[in-house]
Amino acid sequence: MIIVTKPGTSETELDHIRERVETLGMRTHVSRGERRVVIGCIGDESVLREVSLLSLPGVESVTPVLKPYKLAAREFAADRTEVRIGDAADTRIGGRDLTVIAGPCSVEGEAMLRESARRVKAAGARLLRGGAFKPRTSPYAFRGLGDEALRLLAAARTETGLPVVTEVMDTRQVDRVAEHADVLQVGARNMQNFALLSELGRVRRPVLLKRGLSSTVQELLMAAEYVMEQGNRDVILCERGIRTFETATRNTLDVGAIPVLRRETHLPVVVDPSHAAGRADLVAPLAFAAVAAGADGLMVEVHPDPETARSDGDQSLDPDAFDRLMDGVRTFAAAAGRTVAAPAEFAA
Amino acid sequence: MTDGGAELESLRREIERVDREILTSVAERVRLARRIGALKRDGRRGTLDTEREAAVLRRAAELGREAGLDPEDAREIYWTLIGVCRRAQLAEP
Repeated sequence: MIIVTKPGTSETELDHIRERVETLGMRTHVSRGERRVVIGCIGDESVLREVSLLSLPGVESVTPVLKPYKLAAREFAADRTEVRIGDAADTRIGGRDLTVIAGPCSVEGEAMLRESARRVKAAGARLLRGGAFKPRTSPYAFRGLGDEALRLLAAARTETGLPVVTEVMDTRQVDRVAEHADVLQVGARNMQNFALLSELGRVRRPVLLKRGLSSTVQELLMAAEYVMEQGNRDVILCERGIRTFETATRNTLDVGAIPVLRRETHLPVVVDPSHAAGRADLVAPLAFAAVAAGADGLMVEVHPDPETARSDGDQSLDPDAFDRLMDGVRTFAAAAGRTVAAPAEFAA
Repeated sequence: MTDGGAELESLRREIERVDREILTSVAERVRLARRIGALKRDGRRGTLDTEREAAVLRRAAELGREAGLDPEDAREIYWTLIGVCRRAQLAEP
């Protein structure tokens, strides 16, 4: 249930409305926009039928939410969510700026990570990605440097100032990864690992939630709801391609999911064209399509020498190709009415 | 140790002192809740009292606001605290 208040409603009136709702055993969440305040009510909505909420001072409208997700629903927030990243007040995902996250698939060593971080920052990326714990289809494939990679990522952040995004695979890793990373990524294969999602709901770090290979948009939003229900509202959704009958691409980028998500949720949406494509030459056109469709950000795999990459070399861009990609992204972003967030020293 | 380091240490000791006070107060609140739980059982009343909980949350928001805290943070803390006290009431034989 969503209660929208009239402009100029006082704090005392807001407190009173919430107390009336909470008396019925429901919980309330307030979202303050520039012009209106939205009170989202969670719990058994049937009890509200007994009460005339419209008669309370300050109440403008009362609307049921007929979707299974509530906290993630667009109606639940007065404005779109902008997720603040790390300590830097100016790094956000969501809002008018388009934010680019880039870096190697996995952290393979200090030199390659430093080189990657330096080049993606120079090209205009705002966050550094890099896998420490890698879920691989084969147990014999390279599965990441683990704790050593976390340490290297933290060092790269200190050196470049870029906040770090890395995947957490397991509830036992959450605290350890949260100590080193600014954004905790849930991989596509873990999107419905509900124990992990609940655990991430209890930490105060933004969560980047990747859509499962065979998951619907609604299932993605329900996964976000799991994190938010535990108190962590900073969820970033990531479309990364879904499994279809097509084999020419590794996965099929669901471009249609981007406007659907923008309609259904207030949470920011980023797109990972690298995993969807599976091939470096397809990354740029898919990235441009994502920007044109309204994505709030991109996550791109960049490796200083893709030929020698220990994972996902085929889909990784070399730094020069990433420079060209960023030029194109700026053009498409401008056409879509967005600007590309740039670090202070690159700002015009 | 630099002057800044000494000040940091001193502030951390202050935080430790405040934490002890907070936890002592939480334990006191739990003891009071248990006594209320016993009275409710004697009076054959249920433990869950949503009307009372809503009033406590509202008061927490108001007091938090007066004290310069974000009232949403005050609500969040009290939501957790209410849960702790409710469990304590239920656990008492």
